[in-house]
Amino acid sequence: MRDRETLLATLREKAKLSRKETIRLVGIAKSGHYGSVFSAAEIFATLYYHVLRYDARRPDWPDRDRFILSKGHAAVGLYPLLADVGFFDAALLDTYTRLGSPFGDHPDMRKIPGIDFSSGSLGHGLSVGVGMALAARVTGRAYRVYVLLGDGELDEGQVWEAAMSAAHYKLGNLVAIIDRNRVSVDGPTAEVMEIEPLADKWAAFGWRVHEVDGHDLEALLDRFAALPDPASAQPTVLIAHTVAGRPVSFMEHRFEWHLGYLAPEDQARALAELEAEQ
Amino acid sequence: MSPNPHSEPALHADTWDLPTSTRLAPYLNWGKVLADLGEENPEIVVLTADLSHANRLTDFARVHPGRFFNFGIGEKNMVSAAAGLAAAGLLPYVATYASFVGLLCAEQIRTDVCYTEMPVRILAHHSGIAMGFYGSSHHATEDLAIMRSFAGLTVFGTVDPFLAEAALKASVNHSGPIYFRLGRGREKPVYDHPPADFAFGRAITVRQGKSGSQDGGGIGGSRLPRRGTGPIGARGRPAHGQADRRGNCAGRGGHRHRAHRGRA
Repeated sequence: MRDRETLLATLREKAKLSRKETIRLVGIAKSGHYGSVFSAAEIFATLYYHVLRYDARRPDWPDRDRFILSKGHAAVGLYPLLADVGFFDAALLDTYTRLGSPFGDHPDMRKIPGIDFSSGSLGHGLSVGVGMALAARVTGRAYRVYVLLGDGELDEGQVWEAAMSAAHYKLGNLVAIIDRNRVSVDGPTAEVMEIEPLADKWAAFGWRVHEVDGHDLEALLDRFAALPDPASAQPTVLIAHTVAGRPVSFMEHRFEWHLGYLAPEDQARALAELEAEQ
Repeated sequence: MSPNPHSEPALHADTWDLPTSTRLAPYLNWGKVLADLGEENPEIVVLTADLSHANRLTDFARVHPGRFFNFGIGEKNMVSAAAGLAAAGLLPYVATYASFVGLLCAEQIRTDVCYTEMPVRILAHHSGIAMGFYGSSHHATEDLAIMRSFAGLTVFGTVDPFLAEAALKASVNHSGPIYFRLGRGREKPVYDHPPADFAFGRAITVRQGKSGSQDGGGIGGSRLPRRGTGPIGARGRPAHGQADRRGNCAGRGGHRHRAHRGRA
């Protein structure tokens, strides 16, 4: 029980690290995706500090679990955690978006250890995951492939091509996570392009579907712990209900904060709200 | 014993259905070549988009069923999945009509295959206007310009099955992605065996022209070499009907275009 509480405290701290560093790094670039990181911070923390099997000293370890950030615009919140778990020196983050830096708004696998695949153009990541999951079958490896998609990204037809093929090939080692923060660039997803009934869609495509509060660390831990064996015959999707911009009061639920910049005074306001959060 | 009332009637020898249509394309050797390469290269996997008869990759699927994946009519998903297979250490050969893979999937090729430097081999077959009366939806002439503009992509146009065989063999140990621009499998061969000294980027002398003479294989008898890419290269004729036995010009037997690499 104490182990569990220690783990939860660690995950809370790491989700906060992701958000705080996002504020700092976006401050360097003077433009960035706050809202998209803040909805995914608990998912990042749960994956990198508990769920994923990897070795930061051997980023190319063939048996590692793969993680594809299909919503690549949230990479600024992932980089600090990759540094924190040891893929590279955290001091490198200070170069974020500066000329010659490995770190841009979207992640490049050829420049950043720990990035399993480059992303940025929405709709591709689940297909790449299908390929990696098939490769596990061909090579006889037991890893899982996790793909984090945005909900706005589900407008892309290629996602559904990928969903169909994953069920067809019975990829029980493939796990899609939907960051269901209900906003995309132009507004609420319900207004820009309705994607409901979302759970029914995935079920109709042959996936095992679970819904979870994407900020509830205990619920996330339980849901990942209950994943079926990678050798099972059905892919799994976790629809993670999240809040864009959480927990900054003036950003929550606001599509306007999908992309933006906080001047130093407002960075301080946001950081104070993060620190005050329990 | 009475005949089965549901058996197929005996059809005329000229009649064909899809599985037997490959006899109309006697030079579709890619599936066979890949099946042979697959024996010694367990990392080779083959993907197609509901066209395994048209490209005859059934020849690979029959021998290596566990390494053959049909992606249905979902080309974009197939190309990105090939990038995922390559990222996990495999060597994917992805095949469909050039009109689909070279245009519909251009962004997937650029972003998931080229920028990531994945060793994906794209077999863009039935290229150019090979599909004839099937119409412009099935023609691909623009793909050459698009693919040549992608950083790090080797673009290779074959003239016949022997050159395709040599190039496919060479591709196993070639780093980076390749776009093979292939024909329909009905074009008459230029070579009578795979060129022995094949290498990407090196011209092959098919026939030596005579300097300054009118059978020099050049345009209008000039010394300019003729150039053509793909099966059209096999249609090249030296001026004044001085074609050699293979009907070929003294040009290059295959073309490889290498775009500027974005980084070392």
